[in-house]
Formats: sequence, structure tokens, C-alpha cells
Amino acid sequence: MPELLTILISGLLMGCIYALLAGGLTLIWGVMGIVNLAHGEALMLGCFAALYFAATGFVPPLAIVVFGPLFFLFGVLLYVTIIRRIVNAPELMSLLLTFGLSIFIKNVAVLAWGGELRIASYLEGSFAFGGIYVSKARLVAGLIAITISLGMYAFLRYARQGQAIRAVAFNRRIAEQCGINANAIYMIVFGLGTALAAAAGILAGTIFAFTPLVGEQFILKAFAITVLGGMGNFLGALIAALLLGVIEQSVTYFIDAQISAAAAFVIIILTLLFRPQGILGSR
Amino acid sequence: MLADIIENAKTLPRAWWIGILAAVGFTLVYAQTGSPYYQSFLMSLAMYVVLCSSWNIISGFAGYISFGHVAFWGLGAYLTAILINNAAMPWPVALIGAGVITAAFAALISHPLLRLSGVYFAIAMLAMAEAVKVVVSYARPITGGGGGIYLRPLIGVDDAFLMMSLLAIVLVAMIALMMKTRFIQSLLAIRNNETASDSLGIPTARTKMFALVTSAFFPAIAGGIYILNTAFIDPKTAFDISITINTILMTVFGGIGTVLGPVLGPIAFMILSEGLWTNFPFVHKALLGVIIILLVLFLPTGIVPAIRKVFTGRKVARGTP
Amino acid sequence: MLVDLVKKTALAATISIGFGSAAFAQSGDPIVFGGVLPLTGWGADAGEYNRRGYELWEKQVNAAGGLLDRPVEVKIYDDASDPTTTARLYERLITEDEVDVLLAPWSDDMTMPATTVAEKYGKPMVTGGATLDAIWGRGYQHVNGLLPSSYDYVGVPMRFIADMDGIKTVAILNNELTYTTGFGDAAAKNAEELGLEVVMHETYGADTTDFTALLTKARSANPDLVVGGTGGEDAVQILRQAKENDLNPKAFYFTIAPVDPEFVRLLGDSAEYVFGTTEWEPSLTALEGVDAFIAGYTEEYGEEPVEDVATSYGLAQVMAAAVESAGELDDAKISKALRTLEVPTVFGTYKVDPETGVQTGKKIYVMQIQDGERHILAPEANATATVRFPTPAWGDR
Repeated sequence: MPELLTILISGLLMGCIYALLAGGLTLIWGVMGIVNLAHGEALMLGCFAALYFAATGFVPPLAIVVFGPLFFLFGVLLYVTIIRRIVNAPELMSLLLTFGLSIFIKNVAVLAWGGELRIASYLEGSFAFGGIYVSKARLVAGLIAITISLGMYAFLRYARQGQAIRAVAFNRRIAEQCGINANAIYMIVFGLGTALAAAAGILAGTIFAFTPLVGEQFILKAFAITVLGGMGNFLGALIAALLLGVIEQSVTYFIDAQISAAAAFVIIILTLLFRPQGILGSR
Repeated sequence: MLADIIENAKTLPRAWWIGILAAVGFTLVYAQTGSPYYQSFLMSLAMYVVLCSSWNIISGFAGYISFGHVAFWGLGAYLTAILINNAAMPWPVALIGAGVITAAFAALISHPLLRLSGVYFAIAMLAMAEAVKVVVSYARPITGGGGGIYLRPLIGVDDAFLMMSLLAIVLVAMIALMMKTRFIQSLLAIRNNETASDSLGIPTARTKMFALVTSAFFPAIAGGIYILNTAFIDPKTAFDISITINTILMTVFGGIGTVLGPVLGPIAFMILSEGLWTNFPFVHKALLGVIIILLVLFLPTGIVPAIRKVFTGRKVARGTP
Repeated sequence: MLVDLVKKTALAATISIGFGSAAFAQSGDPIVFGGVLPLTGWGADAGEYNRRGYELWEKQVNAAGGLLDRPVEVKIYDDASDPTTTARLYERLITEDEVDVLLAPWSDDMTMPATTVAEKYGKPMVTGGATLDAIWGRGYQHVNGLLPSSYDYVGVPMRFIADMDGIKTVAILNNELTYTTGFGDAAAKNAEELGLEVVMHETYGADTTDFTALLTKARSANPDLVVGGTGGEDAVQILRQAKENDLNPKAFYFTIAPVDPEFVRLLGDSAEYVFGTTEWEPSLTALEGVDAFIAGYTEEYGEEPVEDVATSYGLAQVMAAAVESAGELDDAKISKALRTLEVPTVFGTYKVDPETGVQTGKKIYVMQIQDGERHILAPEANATATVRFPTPAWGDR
């Protein structure tokens, strides 16, 4: 029983970080119709931000406060220079373009920082009570992640800007007729999405060792979550992320670690076949 | 369909026949006289022509963008090895068998997966390929698991080149001859408007299935030829997503939905990337990223339509040979 | 015309290193040693160390008068960590460049196709960064190993640890990659022979970062020894998370990862007590020629050489010894020499089984991380420390 609780908690905490990453992906996907294959690279840059922040002697998770706005601007910059041009292009083109962006960023990072492993470690060990172990770094990261995700959800739901974003996602033409500048919304959304992924990276970098290729380890999971949650459904992504976290841990524990690696893919296929609108969506 | 093909064969420009014959002639001669290294280089090229041309059927003509094409290649390689090692089949039988089983697998997944459209199909195919990789890694008693599968090298690089090159020629010629057939015309109609095609009486489900099956058979054979020559493959190589990505890039580079695009794309791309690799050994991957971005922004239809535009001074619709 | 273009591009696609023969006083054309290494891609770090080893060997041999009174030249191609390219470039080295002697590729999945090519042309090869037992299971006559097989690589430290008090059960975790799967299998086989009960043997995906569930499972199995068939990153994640999840076996043993200086740098105190296998350490000063090797390398790169550098340097020495013994550049004679010779190198003694080519002469050292340093524990003659055992529980450190 303590074992089960251990893996359940650890799965949920992992899920919180996944949610942050997938939240950005689903936002960009839902509003702009772009599947951003370079999303994992924003996470990778976040990991390095945490590392450099830690090197200055600060607690790495605080990097979110400093680097969050910078990554937002980075996203805006990417939108203005490149992404803007493919918003209405066929999906193959946006997939290819963001893929090109992904290998560019990744390989520039390899050139700049080298391929060796790093970790922005600041908290080691875990809290133990009654045979349940909860990693300290992971607990802090998970709590910060879920707070940001819920804040983001509240923003989308209640803030004026957030409502404008949802309006554009729902129907760009009507939103524009109501005086919303869709282009500005796209810019904000891409900035927000990038910042969310980077925040996930800052947190992940305090838990796991990483290299400039770390994005590849997470991007497919983010896909699975986005599909399971329903494309563009932020709350759906949040729930799906927690689910994936728990499913991965349980499959490893009860069945097999190698099979667990396939969990994300099986989820994608099954969701698309049986519930393409996602867990929360309605037909 | 046969009548259509014959009709089409009559109208195929003479340059095509000359090209096909020249390619066959070159292959036959070069397999005897060429140096093994260049045979091996050209074999890789021919392999990508096969991958690109077959991907182009389902993704270029029918418009269903697949991000899981490597699965068919990897399955072909694995099945060939398994049929030889475990079922003691002679290699030509194993090769065809691997192609047939892979095609059957494609038929099996086509029904559920081809109901999905757009980016959902792309992601489902990607997930399918990754899931196949996990299954192959897991099924150790049959596949050797992560340790890979190996067999006696059964054919030399000259024969492998010969077979791969002929396979590429057959596939490209077949597509050229089939351009005016109902099959490919139906695929083009599906790409333009599936609902309308349906209401016009095109059996869309069956046509798409046939497209995916054809699209799976040829890469499987290519994978089989590959492993007959190298005698070893592991899941990391067999289901490497970068093979899918290369296939897509090369085809788009050449011209998606054209017959010659998937031929010129790999040639141009391999020359380009080898050139990059020579001159910028440590930054070539980053440069490749830049090139992809520039390609999408400035040459989204690929080089074949661009060349044609230069020659004819007008834009030609996608899908003409 | 197309073929010409392809030829030209392909010919240009060479990263040839070497100092050229013009600067040397020896008579005759250089003897060309050619190999393929991953200089880019995931294997780039190891590939670069191997390249440095070959390059240093070339420089020092030429300074000492060359081989068969001729200078030597090393020619390396980059396979970008892609096994398909490795095979193609060996075809090229053999048939186009007609190099005199082959050097080894790096890593098991690149070695499998490369050895097939070498065998096909009857070109003698000694494999370097490869331990997969399958390489020698194919009856090849021209392929020999420099490294001991996975079975011994894992077996020597396992035997050492099994002799300690209270080691009865073992949990094996291994990565799904080609060579780590080989380590996992070897560990299972050794455990059976040592009479250890395997309470868990599980393979995990190559991209795994989160090991919580796997380690929780391992804790329930309560093994005395945890064997990790790891490559690098995974070992770091596993050990960090073993601490978080309070997994307390009497000993941790990991393949490959602990010899990398990164292991200690990233893990700090958590790396203490971990056992590993080392095949070479700078402390092994009794090896023939090792002083000059270390001095030469340190002068060139400003740091101590690591195992991968010694591997490739030693490998080139073996090939050169076989050429010298053959007395001429005759592949059949060199192949024969490689099966019968015993060659002392800076990396250790080379001696293979004359039937299979499996390495039998190379010593394997049991290593443990102590106070942030790698220390050899066995064989006793080379030991730089005594074993620290059992590993204290995480809470008691």
C-alpha cells in the first residue's frame, strides 16, 4: 500500500509538470491550429535557464519569475519573424517548419553548451512517512507547476485577454468582427505557450539530468496529453497530464517498464479512434 | 485498371521511356562494374527514392500526411530476418513474405486510422510507428529485443544495389503509368475534397486502403533488401523517426504530389546534405534546420514544380507527372 | 553525369585527419590506417576520444621511425552515429581508398555492420568500443575483439561482489539499447552461475527519465545487489532516484557510466560506494609505454586521457604489431597474426581465442568510487584502495 501511494503521488507530481508543458502546446494548437514540434526545445532552454540561474546562487525554481517574461518575449519574437508566415498554411508546412526550428535550436544548443549531462540540482532526498517517499525537488516542482497551470486556466477563463484568446480559438472571423485583433492574440498565445514550456523545463531541470536533446524525451508525451485532453482544451490537458503521469507509473509498477514507454502512444491511438474530441470534449 | 495503364503508357512522353530504360541499363551495368562504395551510396539513394515515392502515394496524392512511414521499412527488415531465421525460408521468399505481411498490417490499420484526417492522422501514424518499435523491442524471443536481430549476410552490396535500384525504378515507373488511372485520380479527388468524392461515387475507404497498402509494401521490401545486405538491425535503427522525417523532407523538397519529386528530392537532398557535412561537419545539423525553414517559407511546392514553372512559364497543378 | 556528381560529392565528403607524409624523413609512401567513428551525433563524445587516441598514436609512431620503415597515416571518416553510414564508409575505405589496415568503429550497433563488411573482404579488424557477444557468435575469421566480452565485463565485478558477505539476491535493470541489453543478459547469466537469485530483471525504454516506479518495485524485491546495465544518463537518473526512494542494496554496480568523470561530477556524494568495471585507468603505470602515452596526451590536450583514448591507441598498436609480425601488408597474414599474437599495449594485453577471436588476454578491473575518485579494487596487484562494503543506507551517510 505505501508503495502504491508512493508511485501515485510521484505520478501526479510528474503529471503536474507534463501539464505545464502540454498546456502550452494545446493552447498554440487550439488557437492557432499549429502543432508546434519545437515545443520541446522551449522546455530544453528552460532547463538551461534553471542551470544558469542556479549557478548564480539562487534557488532554481525562482528562475521562472525572471526567465518567464524573457521566454514570453522569445516566443513573441519567433512568432513575428517566422511562425506568423505559416499560420494559415497547410498543416504539413507548419509541421515541417516547426520541425526545422526544433533541430535548429537543439543543434545550436549542442554547439553552444556541448552535449554533456547537466542538472540544476538544489534539493536532494525525499520526505518519508509511513513507507511513502516523496522526492523533495519533485514536490516543490509539482506544486509550482500546478499553481501556474491553474493560474493560466483562470486567466483564460476570466480575464478579458483570456476570453479574447478563447474567442479567437472558437471562431477567428467572428472574433475579428467583434474588434479583437487576431494577429495580436496569436502573438500573445505563442509567447504564452513558449513561456509555459520553458517553465516546465525550469522545473524538470531541477529533477532530472538533461542534455540539449531533452526535448525529444518529452515532446511525444505532450502530444499524447494534448490529444487525450482534446486539442485546445486547457483543462482537458491538465487532467490528461495527471492521468498520463499516473498511467506511466502504474504500468511500470504492475506490468513492465518497456511497455510503459508505449503508454503515450497507445493513449494517442485509442483516443483518436474512440474519443477524438478528448476526455472533456463533446461531439 | 489495366486498360487505363495501357492507355496511359501510350501517352507517356518518349522522354519517360528513355529515362526508364536508361535507369535500368545503368543499374544492370553498374551492378557488374561499379565500385562497392558507390553501389552502396546509390543503394541508399534508391532506398530513399522508394521511401519517398511510396510515402507520396498516401501523403502526396491522397493528402494523408503520414509521420510513421519508417514503421513499414523497419517491419520489412525485421520480418525478412525473422522469416529467414525462424521459418528457414529462402531469402527471396522471405523478402516477398515480409512485403506481404507488412502490406496486410497496413490493411489492418487502415480502416481505423484512415478515418482520421489532417494532423490527427499524422500523429496517429507517428504513435503507431513508436508503438511498433516498443513491441519489437519487447518481443525478445522472436525479435532479439533491444539487442537487435542478425543473420548471415546473404547478398553482397552489388546485388543489394541491383535490387534496390530496380525496386525504385519499378515503383516510379508504375506510378508514372498509373497517373491517369482511376486509382490515382481518385486519390487526387480525395485530397481535394473527400466528401465530394464520396458523393460522386468514388469508393473512398477502399481507395485509401489500397493507397496505404501500396505505400507500405514497397518500403517493406526495401527494408528487407537492406537487412539482407547489412545482416544486422536493432529497433533504434529500424524505427528511427529521422528516416520518416528525411522521407518527408526529401519529398517536399522535390515536390510533393508529383511523380519526379520523390526522385529528384532524395538526389538533391543527399548531395546538399553531404555537401553541408563536408564543409561544416559540426554545424551541419543546425544548418539543415535553417534550410528546412527556408524551404517551407520560400519553396513550399518543391523543386519539380519550380523547375517546371521556369520552363513553361506557368504554374502547373500538383499531381501531373 | 549524375553518377559523376554523386562521386564528386561523395569524394569530397571526407574528414581526413593525419599529418601527411611530407614532413617525415622515412622512405616510401605512408601505410594508411583507416577507420570510421561517430564524430557527430549521439556517439560524438566517445568518437572524439577515440579519434584523439588514433591521432596521438600516429604522431608518436612516426616520431619513433614509423612502421616497416614507412610512415603511418590515420584516416578517419565520420558516420554521424548512423550504422548504415558506418557500413558504407567501410566499403569505401576498403574498395575506394584501399587503405592498408582497418581501424575500429565505435559502439556495438555501428560495429555489427562494420564487421560484416570487413569479413566480406577478408580485411582484418579488431573491434574497439564493442562488447556484444553476438559479434563473435557468427564465426567470422577476420574479426577480433580488443575488449573482453559483455559476459566478462559484467562477470568480473559480479564475482568480486558476490564474494562479499550476504550477497544472495540481485536485481538487474537494463536499458533497451543494443549493448546495454547485452550487459543485462550477461548479468543474468553470471548471476545464475554464481548462485545468486535474480529477484528482478527488467528492461526500460531508452528515453526513460523517471525511474520511481521501477525503483519502488526494486525496493519491494529487496535485492542485495543492484546491477544497472546502463550507458550514462540513465545511471545518473537511477542513482539520484534510488536515493529519493530509499533503495538500499548492499551494493550498486553500473556498467559504463561510473568510469565517466561526469558520473562523479553530477552525482557528488551519491556516487560514493558505487561499483563499476574499468578497463583502463591512468594509475595502471605498469603497462608498457603508458608513461609516454599519458605524457603525450596531456601535453596535447591539457588533461589526463580517459579509457576511450587508451582503447583506440592500444587498438592501433595491436594492428601495427600484427603488420610487423606479418612483415608485409598481406591481409591473410595479418589476420593470422591477430589470432595468435600476444601484444602488450598501453591499454593492456591483447590476446584472443584463436578459434573465435574473443578477447581473453585483457585484464578487467573492479572499480569503486571512493571519496570522489575512481579506485581499482581488484586484481590486488593493481589495487589503489580496499573495498568499502556494505554500502550504507542513504539515511546513514
